[in-house]
Amino acid sequence: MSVIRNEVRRGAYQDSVALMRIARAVQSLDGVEVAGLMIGTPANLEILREADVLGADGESAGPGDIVIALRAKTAAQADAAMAQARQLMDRPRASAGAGQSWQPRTLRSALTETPAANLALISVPGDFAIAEARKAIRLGLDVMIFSDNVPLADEADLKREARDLGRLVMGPDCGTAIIGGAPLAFANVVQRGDIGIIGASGTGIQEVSCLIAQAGRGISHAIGTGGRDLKAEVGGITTLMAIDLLDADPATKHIVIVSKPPAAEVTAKVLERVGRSSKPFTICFLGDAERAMPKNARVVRTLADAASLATGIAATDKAMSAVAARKGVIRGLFAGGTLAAEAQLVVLAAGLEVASNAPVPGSSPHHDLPMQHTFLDLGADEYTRGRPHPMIEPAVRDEPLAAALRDPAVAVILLDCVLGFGGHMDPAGHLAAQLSNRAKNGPTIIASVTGTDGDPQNRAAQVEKLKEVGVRVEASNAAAAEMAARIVRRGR
Amino acid sequence: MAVELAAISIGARAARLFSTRIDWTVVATFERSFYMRSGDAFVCIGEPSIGDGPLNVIVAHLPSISIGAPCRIDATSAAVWHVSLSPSLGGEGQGEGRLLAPTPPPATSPAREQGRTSGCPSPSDRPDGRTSSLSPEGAGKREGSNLLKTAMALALPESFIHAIADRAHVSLIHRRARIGIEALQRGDFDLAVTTLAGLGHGLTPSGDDVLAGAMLMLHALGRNGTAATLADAVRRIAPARTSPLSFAMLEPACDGEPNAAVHRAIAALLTGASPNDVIDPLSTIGATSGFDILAGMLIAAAA
Repeated sequence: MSVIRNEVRRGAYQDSVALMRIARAVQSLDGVEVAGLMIGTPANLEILREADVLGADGESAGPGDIVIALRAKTAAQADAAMAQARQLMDRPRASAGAGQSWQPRTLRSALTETPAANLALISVPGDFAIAEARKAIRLGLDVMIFSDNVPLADEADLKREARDLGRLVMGPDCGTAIIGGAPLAFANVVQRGDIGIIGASGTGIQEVSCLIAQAGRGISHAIGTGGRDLKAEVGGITTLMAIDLLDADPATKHIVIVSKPPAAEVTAKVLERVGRSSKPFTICFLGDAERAMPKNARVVRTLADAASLATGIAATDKAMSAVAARKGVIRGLFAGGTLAAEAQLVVLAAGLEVASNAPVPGSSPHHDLPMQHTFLDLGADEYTRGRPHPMIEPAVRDEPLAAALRDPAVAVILLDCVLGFGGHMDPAGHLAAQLSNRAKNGPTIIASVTGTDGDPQNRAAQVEKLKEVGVRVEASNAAAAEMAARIVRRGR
Repeated sequence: MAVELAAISIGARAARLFSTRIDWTVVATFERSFYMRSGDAFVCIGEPSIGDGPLNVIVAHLPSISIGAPCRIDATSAAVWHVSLSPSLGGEGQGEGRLLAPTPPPATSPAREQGRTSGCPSPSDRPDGRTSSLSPEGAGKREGSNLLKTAMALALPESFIHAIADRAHVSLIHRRARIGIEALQRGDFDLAVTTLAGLGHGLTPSGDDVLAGAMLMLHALGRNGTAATLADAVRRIAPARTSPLSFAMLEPACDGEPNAAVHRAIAALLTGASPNDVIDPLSTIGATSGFDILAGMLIAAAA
């Protein structure tokens, strides 16, 4: 039977945003069914009463009081939640003399405050993203839309209008960009340089930019286009504008394009535009490495190959004798969707059959069958409904990882570990904790770490944490997949 | 030891309160402002970005100050700010009194084309029940109804929806809000105030802000009789239904005294300006209060 807890703060005043944040924080605790923080007016007490979250203590509240009201599954959970609510309410509050400054509430007032701004990063629910983006481009701003769930037709309309206005729209569903050296959303700290990237994939941009940085080279700009820019309905508008921009940028000497294979007519337009540039291009249409290219472009199979070609520095190839062959299957558990796709392509190219919840051409849909090489994109909707993305909350991977460790058919577990701004502060540490007590004769664990030493998580430190628990860390996601494939092929 | 602050500008109501009350204590602190109380009187001390208002005191910089701390305001060099939407009182200015006179519409506006002038309707103007006296017919009503939809879409979800984190209970709040708004629209002010006063989240509950917006708009439209009737209901019923602080903030609206941001928004609305010119100043008021005030303004305008 659920338990109600109320606490009344007499004569207390807090603004709605503060109370909302506290309510949401408490609501997310284990076992909490409902949480509300409201001033104790008769109208609000009625609301709390009807929501079945008001007890005798709360009923005593007056209009000048704040009521903390919650309902949880058990008494212990209710008490824990109330303790958390108290802690949050009692956080020291000082007025703005402490150096905080006013936050504008509309785009126009933000631009009034910061007239030199030339980019708006939009992260609002999808229903409102297009409206905000339109305001931004009409105010003369380029736009990055982090939001997803935007109708495709709206994306196309917006991009056409933006093109007419000479404004760039990165997105929707654009998770990564690096503009003028500034990492935006999920991005990494990489040095400035002369390689530009245009990507329809966030983790694709991250992997390529980090490999370029690890090779000692740098990025001029990494322009995210959003995952659907190369669909027929959108026609590659942002990709084409990005090529124009990087082509005209004197600091950019080599351009890398990363995406899944575009629609046929869009591919033709993009390659035609590439061919008119005087700069060299490296093109990675994941899963499509056979396409004819203009003279100034080369096509590659993997993100790692894209970085190698752009930098002119080949990745080192570890001797196979360093790792023992194993009999069994590969279980790939990925936070990054593009990394899951790339890994599938590498393993398919090695002659193995692959199943996935996000299958690439040549892979089968995942049906949880035994003795299948299975690659799971744990950032896909079925795993993130009501939960954070695994790049933010690595615990999403815990259960599939534990299942793979227990499965006698699994010879190799393949993992990605993505660093950078916006991501979890210690994904390797979390993985290491899950792996530290595994059975000695369990699966071989192979991982890649996408990131740089300059990232908040520090790639070198993250690699070390994984190695300490016996994980084999490869230089790239592609290399890790290749190693996994070799291990099980030799074991057949 | 009391914190002493020098005011740059002070609302006329706040200035009157400081002349009669000596002991003030901080009761709430926020990013850009803090509130002080003396008995049943409240004033808001804030940095310039909060804008002038009847109960606002603007200081150059906010100190770091805690709840319960005593505070004294030196207003000897402050400009006194006062604006009224009621034709019987003064208009905006620093210690002056003049009637509200919104700027005329631009040359291309339907108002000019139709040969009508803008400005606050005379007290004898009454809406005909079909068109709004808000601004010239057609354009004004379209603008008003679009803004009403926008405001309702913004104000209700923004303010009421977050009162309880469990969104399944949002409908409870919406139901009450709808009862109150419909009562307001048909002139059942006792029911409107009983339902809306104290309803919702935040320092000034959303329902209070809707009532404030409605009263201010009625004054701006010259519907002073209706405004007075609603104000009477607010003064009778709201003290028992809402917090002392919020009721103190409602009182200026009862007398047709807006703060500067609301004044700008009302002027924009009356002159058929773009929605942004209405929404932008209101967006500076609190977390959601501005949108709730807008909802009240438009309910009154469209009624």
